[in-house]
Amino acid sequence: MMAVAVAPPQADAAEAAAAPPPAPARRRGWLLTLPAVVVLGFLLVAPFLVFTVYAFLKGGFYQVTGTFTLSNFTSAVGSELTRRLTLNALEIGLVTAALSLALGVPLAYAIRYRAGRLEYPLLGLVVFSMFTSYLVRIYAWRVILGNDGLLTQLLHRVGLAPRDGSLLFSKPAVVAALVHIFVPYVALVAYAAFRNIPGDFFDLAADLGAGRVQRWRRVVLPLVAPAAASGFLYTFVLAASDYVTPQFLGGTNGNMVGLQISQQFTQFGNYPLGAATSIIVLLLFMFAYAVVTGLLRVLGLSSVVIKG
Amino acid sequence: MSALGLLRSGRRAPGLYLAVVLAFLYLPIAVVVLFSFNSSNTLNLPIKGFSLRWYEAVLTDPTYTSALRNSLIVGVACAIVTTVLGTLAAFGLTRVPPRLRAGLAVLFFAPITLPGLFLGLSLLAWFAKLDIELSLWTVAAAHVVYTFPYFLLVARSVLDRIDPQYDELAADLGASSLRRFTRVTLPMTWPVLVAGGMLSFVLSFDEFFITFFVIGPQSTVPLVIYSAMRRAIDPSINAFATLLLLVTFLSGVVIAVLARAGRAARKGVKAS
Repeated sequence: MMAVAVAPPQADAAEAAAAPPPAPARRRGWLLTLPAVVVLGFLLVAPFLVFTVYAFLKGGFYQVTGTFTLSNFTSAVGSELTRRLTLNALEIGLVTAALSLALGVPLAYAIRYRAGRLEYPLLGLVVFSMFTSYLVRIYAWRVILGNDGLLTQLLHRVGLAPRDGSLLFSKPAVVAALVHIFVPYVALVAYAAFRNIPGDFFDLAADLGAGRVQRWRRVVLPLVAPAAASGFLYTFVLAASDYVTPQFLGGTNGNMVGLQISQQFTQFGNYPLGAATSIIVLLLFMFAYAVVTGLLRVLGLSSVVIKG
Repeated sequence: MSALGLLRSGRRAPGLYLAVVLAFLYLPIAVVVLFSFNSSNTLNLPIKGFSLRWYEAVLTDPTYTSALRNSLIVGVACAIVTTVLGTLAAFGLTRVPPRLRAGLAVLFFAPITLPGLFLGLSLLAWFAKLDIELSLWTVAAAHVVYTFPYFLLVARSVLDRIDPQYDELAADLGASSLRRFTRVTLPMTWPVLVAGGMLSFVLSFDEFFITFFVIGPQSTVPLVIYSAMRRAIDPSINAFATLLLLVTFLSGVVIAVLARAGRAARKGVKAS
């Protein structure tokens, strides 16, 4: 069903020329998308533009004046607390994304190629674990890592308990909960990529004389790298912008900039400062995106075309 | 990546690896379910005894029941609007020139790439600017933006593969566009559209990151859990969370069955 073929571009062009969609249907197509365009314009594009403009306006307690200023950006960059919380968020995001990748990609590989008849039931188990509420998972980790939590008791019994008595309120606690949330996402994205590689690809490569390392480098990696990269970026961005997990598991050391931004809006009512901090964080995310896609291109891993 | 090495090292290693990771994914959930039946109000092992008292507490507490009702209202409203907008857009996308399609895709999938924190905050600023009072309806509107791309992902995977010849054939036979939609396209695609709508409902039901900023004085299910978590260790959260698990698991099963039925229906039509 999932035939793998690297289609030459001419084939698509010929196909399109042979069967052009009927003209009346083509003309009406954009009309069908219009309601969604209007709704997203009103509830996504316009709000985000206002948000961006706010970052350049003078702000006070729950009020914004029309005076242009860059002081929101300078005070965000100048604040040592903001800098520390931003670095914390980036660090937690990177560690979470790396661990999710390290656990999720082999999970997808094992389900796709090593599970045999259990492939679909196991895939179902991974998908179903995603249907657990985000907050319930954070709560569960609080129970497990709490002072008389399961893991803490277990560590006490083997004499490995931390000196201050608690596993809660630290960076590792935040990372554990976030990895738990994002492993299934990464595994699913990687599984979708592995689906395009039939098992006999490996045998074929072996027949052609490729060693174990070469098979991974030349066959598996190019096919799974783009998916792994998008799973990595998705996890990094969502983990680094989390403002709920640090509230319950982070404490002072595991606090993140997302929480500070949300408090600038809801507690201090300083929309412009919050918006400016947000834009700095979003620019850092875009930088991470550019680095990862650039890295793929340099390594020659981004140009594989697969038609499913 | 040492885990990959482990996978290749022997026949039993993949099985062991699968077991460990799945245990990691399910153990925290199992802990919540286990403690929801605990008769004592501490969260220590071993469990003192079996009891349904936390379920009784949750189901008779108006805080929880009204949150459930609010989440149902928001989820259903969001699912209906998303399904209508998403169905139109998904069909529209297959009928526009490639260049316009690429542009529309950037807009339509933007909500997936923008984290909930920023989506919620920009909506908060927007609603404040327009003097729109925050309520369950502002939550539902925000959820439409959030669930729309996920609906499109589900719907498009099927719509892209439908042979346009059926539609053209019906048009040649003189069927109006509404009749073609209800008699030709809908019978081939409805299970997938319903699955997309249910996915929107489930996503909305559990949404916290955006909801927190755009909700008024009312409360939804995730917000009730949030405020209960902020107070103290409250064992009734376990029971409430277990009930939620049940709801979302069952929805997941229905979505999977419908998505499969959608693929089967499409194949059947193609074969005949």
